[in-house]
Amino acid sequence: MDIFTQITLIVGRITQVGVNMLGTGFLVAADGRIVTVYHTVGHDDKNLVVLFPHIRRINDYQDLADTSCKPIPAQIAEVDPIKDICILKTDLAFKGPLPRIGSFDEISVGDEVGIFGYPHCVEGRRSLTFQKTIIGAKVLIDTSGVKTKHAVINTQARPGQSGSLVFSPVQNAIVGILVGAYAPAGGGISLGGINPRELHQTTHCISAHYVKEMI
Amino acid sequence: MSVPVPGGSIEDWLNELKLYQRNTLNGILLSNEPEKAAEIWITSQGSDIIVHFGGTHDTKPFWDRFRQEFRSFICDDNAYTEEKKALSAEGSITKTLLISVVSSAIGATIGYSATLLAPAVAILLCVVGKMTVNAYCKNG
Repeated sequence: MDIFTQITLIVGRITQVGVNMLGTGFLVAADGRIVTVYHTVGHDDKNLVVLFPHIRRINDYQDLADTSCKPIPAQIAEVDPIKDICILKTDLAFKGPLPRIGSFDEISVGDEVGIFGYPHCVEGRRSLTFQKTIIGAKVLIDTSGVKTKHAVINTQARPGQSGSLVFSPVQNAIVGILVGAYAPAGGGISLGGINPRELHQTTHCISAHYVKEMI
Repeated sequence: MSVPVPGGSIEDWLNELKLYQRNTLNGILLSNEPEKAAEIWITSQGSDIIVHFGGTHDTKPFWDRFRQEFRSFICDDNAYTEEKKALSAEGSITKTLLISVVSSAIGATIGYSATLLAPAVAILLCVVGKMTVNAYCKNG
């Protein structure tokens, strides 16, 4: 699992007061290309960065008081705003084999998957976190006439996890990208910045195979 | 200085784009007119039944600004003169070159990624090419 400490990265933007952490991304090619979700990055790649890995082993204690970081400039290389996928180009280099990019077609409802991401990074917390869950459903989502393959994973996600990789140990492949939680527009309230409608286990991920035609 | 825009069908223009862009746009175009498809492309942030867990939720009125700059590029002789000079120095202006130059120029002006703009630019150039530059500019 230690490889995920090197390929799962925080995506952020440099501001006058430091790095504003926006979400999660992951290395998908040895030449430094990174996958994230488009809504994490937005329209503009000005001052966009990824943060160099801050631990080497997944069992390392991550010092939450340590705010030092090494930002690596990133540019938008490819973007599909309908599927909400973005490829960033960086000068990062990776030696060794990277996990294969797979698809939700390869796994079944009930299969176990692992999620690596940075929950709460948008609030300033940097903690690479592993979650284990199962595929709860496979669904097609229609966005402006384009249907895309998603899976529902049976775990709750929080801000900062958008762009997390979803890994299948059975297929030994990254099969999905965490996008967000089911919450139809036009409802909900905010309690201390939290919308109770988002507090459930219907977390949506898009199939990773869409990435293959973008890299 | 006006820019000559090559003619061609929407398929011709989409063929200048990458496969993933073409696949997604073909889906949008099944139920939307070309200009609406361009708007959907550059204003979408994925499904509206999924709440996002990251980003800054940019809600700028992006489409109007983009369309205004596109019109300036095509119709205003005093706008984007350097880019138009560079284009006129080319022997022939291909669709690929025109998409690239217009996307980069507008992207630099309004502060958005040229990669994001390119498919919308291709569609609008197709619209212009079908009706001639003069007719497009007179239409307001």
